[in-house]
Amino acid sequence: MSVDEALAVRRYGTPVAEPELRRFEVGAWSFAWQAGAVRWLHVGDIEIVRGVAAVLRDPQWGTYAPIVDDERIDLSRRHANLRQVFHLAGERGEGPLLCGEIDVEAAERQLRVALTLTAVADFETARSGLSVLLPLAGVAGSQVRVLHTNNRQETILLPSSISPSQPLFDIRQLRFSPAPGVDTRLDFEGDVFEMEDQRNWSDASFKVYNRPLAWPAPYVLEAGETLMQRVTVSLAEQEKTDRDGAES
Amino acid sequence: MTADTVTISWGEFTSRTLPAIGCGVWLDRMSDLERIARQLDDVAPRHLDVLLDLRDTRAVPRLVELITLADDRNVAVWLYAICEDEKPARSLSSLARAFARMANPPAGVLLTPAAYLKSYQPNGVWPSSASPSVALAAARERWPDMALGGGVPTYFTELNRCRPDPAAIDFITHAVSPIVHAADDRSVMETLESIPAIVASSRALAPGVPYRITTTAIGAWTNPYGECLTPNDGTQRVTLSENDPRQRGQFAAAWAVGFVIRAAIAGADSLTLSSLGPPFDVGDAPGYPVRHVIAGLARSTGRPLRQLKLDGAELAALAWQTESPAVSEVWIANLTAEGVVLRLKDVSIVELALLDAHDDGFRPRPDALVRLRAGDTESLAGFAILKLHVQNLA
Repeated sequence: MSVDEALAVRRYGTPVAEPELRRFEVGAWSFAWQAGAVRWLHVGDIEIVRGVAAVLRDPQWGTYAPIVDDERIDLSRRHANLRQVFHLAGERGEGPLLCGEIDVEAAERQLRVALTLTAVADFETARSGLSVLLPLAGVAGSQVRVLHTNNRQETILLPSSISPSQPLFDIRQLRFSPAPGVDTRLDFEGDVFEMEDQRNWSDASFKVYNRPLAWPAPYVLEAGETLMQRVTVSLAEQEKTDRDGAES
Repeated sequence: MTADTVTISWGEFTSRTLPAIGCGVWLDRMSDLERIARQLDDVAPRHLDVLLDLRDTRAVPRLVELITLADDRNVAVWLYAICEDEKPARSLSSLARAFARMANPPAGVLLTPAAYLKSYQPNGVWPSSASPSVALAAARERWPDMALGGGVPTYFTELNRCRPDPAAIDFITHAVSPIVHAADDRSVMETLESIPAIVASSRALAPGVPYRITTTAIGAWTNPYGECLTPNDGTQRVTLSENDPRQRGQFAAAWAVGFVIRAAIAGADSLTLSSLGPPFDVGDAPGYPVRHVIAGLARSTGRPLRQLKLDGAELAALAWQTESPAVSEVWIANLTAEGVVLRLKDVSIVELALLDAHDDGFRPRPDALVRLRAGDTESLAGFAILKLHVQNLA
């Protein structure tokens, strides 16, 4: 065992290292990239989003660890494209169960995460798709403006005390300000999204995830089925609040 | 290593005290009583939270043996008892016979019908069998004077979704698992951010009774959300595992210090950390790093707290009055993997010891003592914990 491995065992109880973490600064953003996930998206000192990731749950709500086949990073000062191709191995070397690709485009004031998943064999899951974590600071106990899939728009106060049930359902777009003047917009495409107060499970976040919990779980992505989901984070220009979406 | 220096100085006095610090025991996995006796002597937890399944006929005889050990050492025993679903009262008779044979009754009992170890959506289908409040009423009838709890031996979610009648309970309780949703190092450490909200929310559910967070570790002892835990050979960082490698490393020690500091400041009364024996064993002497944290903090149970001011989020720090009026004890934990440069302001150090990944247990560090005393900076290694005795200012 090397010196590094010995220290790792003293610290973590295992010589196994975590996937590499890289930090990027692009346009207005700074963020980290680890294991195919965007983490700690900041504008200056203000944390906008704690993380955006493809989360693949097994039927027991355990989390699958995908095998990475390829990762590509194209980078300039004003633009970044991060791409990871992955698969989940089937049991007993039967070939992959599921193939996927996550594609992150970061530009001046917008960051877009797109996920494609293709089931190679029937794939049973409690939930598979994109999830977005909002940080607690500036979010818990604060107002958010939500646009539902039927274009109805409403403003709600996120809970201060931990909410046992979902604070928000049926989300197409969220607007919130993690700090005064930092108006942020999140657009969700490709499934029905809703929000959970993850402080229930001692996570430091509110989570916006695909597929309503009220739908049956686990469910099966059938062999050959492909799903595509996309989340776009935008720093809002100072636009009029009633411009998009009809008030109901 | 971060370039910035974190300055630590005295903060506000609080009316709070350091919570009672104890350990868990899983009765169905208890095999070696002599080993538990040694661990009780070395770690000296203030209490044991004992998880037992009353449907298992071996549970009660084992409990009698364990309580004898605990009584000899003046360690309070709290029972987290799983009972049958249909007629919880039927589960209580063997326990009642055991109580009759004990010199001292347990400090308190939480009864959980087995079906309530699982989680249900607030608007989902709940078990049609007896609820925890029915089980509690049965226990109340049998033991009118016993401290009976509301809550769950699982996680805050299950308490929040099945709230007890605050007028019917003598304490409120739940456990914490920091690896339900994410198991990478940073996400696990970030769970500490949510602890103040968990404590405040639990407190609000039953403002008048003591609040106990039961056995909590880097791990999950049961999976309320599915059929089973995630298999782990003890080397992998996976969610919902009872065999997380970090529980045996310095990481768990730093997390535990952060957890105690956050929960203490927010107002928890009692905290139970790791276990004697599986699943979250503190180890044989010298034991895993978290063992030294539990032993060190349990000794200071009930001491009046004083906050510290920190100008950085990488560290957690707290002080409390020792039995000597002139001296306070200060604990500082680095919650990150990188070294953090720190400086103490207006603090006169008497003694200094360090728990880091290079030694077993806290060790004096004369070089660091000299530097910090002189007002110089000192680098605290990743996940290291600094323990100081300092002179109180007049």
